[in-house]
Amino acid sequence: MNRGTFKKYSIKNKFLIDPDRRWILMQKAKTIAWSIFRAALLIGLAYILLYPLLYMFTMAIRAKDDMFDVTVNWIPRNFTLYTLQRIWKAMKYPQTLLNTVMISGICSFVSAATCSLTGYSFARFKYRGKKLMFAIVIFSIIIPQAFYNMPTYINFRYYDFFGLLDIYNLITGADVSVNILGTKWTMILPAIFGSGIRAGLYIYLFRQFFRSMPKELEEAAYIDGCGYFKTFYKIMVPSSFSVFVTVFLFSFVWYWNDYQVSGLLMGASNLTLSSALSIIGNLTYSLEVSEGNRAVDTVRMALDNQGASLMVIAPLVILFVFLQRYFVESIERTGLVE
Amino acid sequence: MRLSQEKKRSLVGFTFAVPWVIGSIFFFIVPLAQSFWYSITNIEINEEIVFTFKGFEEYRRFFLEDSLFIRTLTETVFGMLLSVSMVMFFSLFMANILVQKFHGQRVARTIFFLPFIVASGMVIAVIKGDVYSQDIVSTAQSSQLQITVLRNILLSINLSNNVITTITTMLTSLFEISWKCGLQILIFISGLQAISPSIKEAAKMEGATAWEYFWKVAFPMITPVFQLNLIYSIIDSFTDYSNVIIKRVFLLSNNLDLSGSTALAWIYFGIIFVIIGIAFLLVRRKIFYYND
Repeated sequence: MNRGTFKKYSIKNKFLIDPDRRWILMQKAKTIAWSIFRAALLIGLAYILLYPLLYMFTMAIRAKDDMFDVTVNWIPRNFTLYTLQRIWKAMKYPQTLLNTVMISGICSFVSAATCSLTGYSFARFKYRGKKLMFAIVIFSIIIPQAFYNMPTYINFRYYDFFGLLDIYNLITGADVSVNILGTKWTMILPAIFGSGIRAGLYIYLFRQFFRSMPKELEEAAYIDGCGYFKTFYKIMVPSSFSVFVTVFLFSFVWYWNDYQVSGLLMGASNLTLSSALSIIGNLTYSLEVSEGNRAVDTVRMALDNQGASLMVIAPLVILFVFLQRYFVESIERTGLVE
Repeated sequence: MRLSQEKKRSLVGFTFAVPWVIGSIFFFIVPLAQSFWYSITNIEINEEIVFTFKGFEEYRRFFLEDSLFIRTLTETVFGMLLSVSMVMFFSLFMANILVQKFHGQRVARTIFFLPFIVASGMVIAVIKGDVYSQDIVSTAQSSQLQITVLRNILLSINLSNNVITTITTMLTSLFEISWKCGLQILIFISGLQAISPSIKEAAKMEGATAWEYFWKVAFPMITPVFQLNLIYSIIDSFTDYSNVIIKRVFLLSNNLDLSGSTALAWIYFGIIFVIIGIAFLLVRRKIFYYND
């Protein structure tokens, strides 16, 4: 039999199926084809996104010899913790980790507190100059901190505590200024006053959220005799808890990953993990020198870089895995999208 | 003195913002003004810092004497526009896929948000700068090979060289693009989810295909989110530390050429401000608000 007749037969046969059923079958086939395509696409892209993490991990646990072994690609032949131990020592890991957690935690916490107050003020109250103030918030989102890093650096070098020391100097005729560079205050002070890293964005988020909340809640509280501040922390803070969590987590990630601002203002005396990573070459070099060796070869450096990256990002990734619900659902709960 | 209820309320409202007002004056406005002052003065750092006014010399120097500057600037700006449009396209596409219901949707969303955690800092610089990665090198080479094949195919259908270069650059930068999309995808997803299912049902009943539904119904409804994402992507890409101009700002300030670095920063900011303004105005006319 030839193909022609077969084809004709099958077409004829198809018309015998009732058209509704055929349509349903077509839809089903389409759905299956689409889900296969989707799975392939997602797996491919997930590979691109996970690749650096996997790569860091496999580089961190392999011995140097494996770098010259062409048969080793992903799974190391000589498993070793040498790189991680080196980095542990070079970065002074426990101390640096504690420092990073403290700075990120404190700054994010006070940032969230101040920004929520400011956002509430923008969302609910009317006063003169509010529009100008909000324009400044938007500007502070647009202008990167890098632009006014240097003036900030010089101001902290000769710090005058909001001009208070200047007044004191004027009265007493003395010439006093304090150098607070290298201390944690260079990061915490701006955060307390709502000018930390990306604080403008959090003010915007809080404002959007508080605007979307019903006014009746507050009015009921006023009638029951609550003052303005009491209403804020008894009514508004508990009901916007999810936004606080979101802002805290985002801010925590940004502070954790920041190395430009903290590296400039705190320097070597108060290293965070990210700024330690940015000077990892120097750190391992001084470790080698202290152990009596001189040169660090390039292959060793490549392993060190990946190992250090892994150790910097690992706590954050672990945190993310446990709290991913808060991250992934965060935007929906902030009411930004309404 | 007794205040009226209205006055008292606005006074209290302002009190809520007082910490931020203090902070923004001393940590934002003053440093910003100082940085402008630095850009038009001569700075000598001895035991004390001495400023002498010199006008817009630095600005003139960048535009008239530095032969590479204008070229770098236009390249950066055009590169940024290309990358932003790709980020927007890619994240909209991915959000549309991730918003569907399928097995492992939650895992997929988590993985696609991972770049936000990893890529906003030093780690991504280390990852990209690692020339010892045999794997990255070899994939780069093999993709180079595929790109040459693709190039020949495109050449054979008589496309102009510029178009082909744009296409191949897009393909090679897919890695970088997919790393920049974490937050944007998330924002688009929540925008798409905020569309009520009854609207989708109505569109289906009227016989709209998925394509028509997306462009005629879903897309107009997420235009506010689109604007937000667009502005965020522009800001994100021009504050990126791998950006050539930002790198130069840091290089100059590390060499203690304060007036040069601040002048460059101000020039760059002026340009970006204009771009954001144009983007904002262009998109604003198309924005659709459901509640209005």
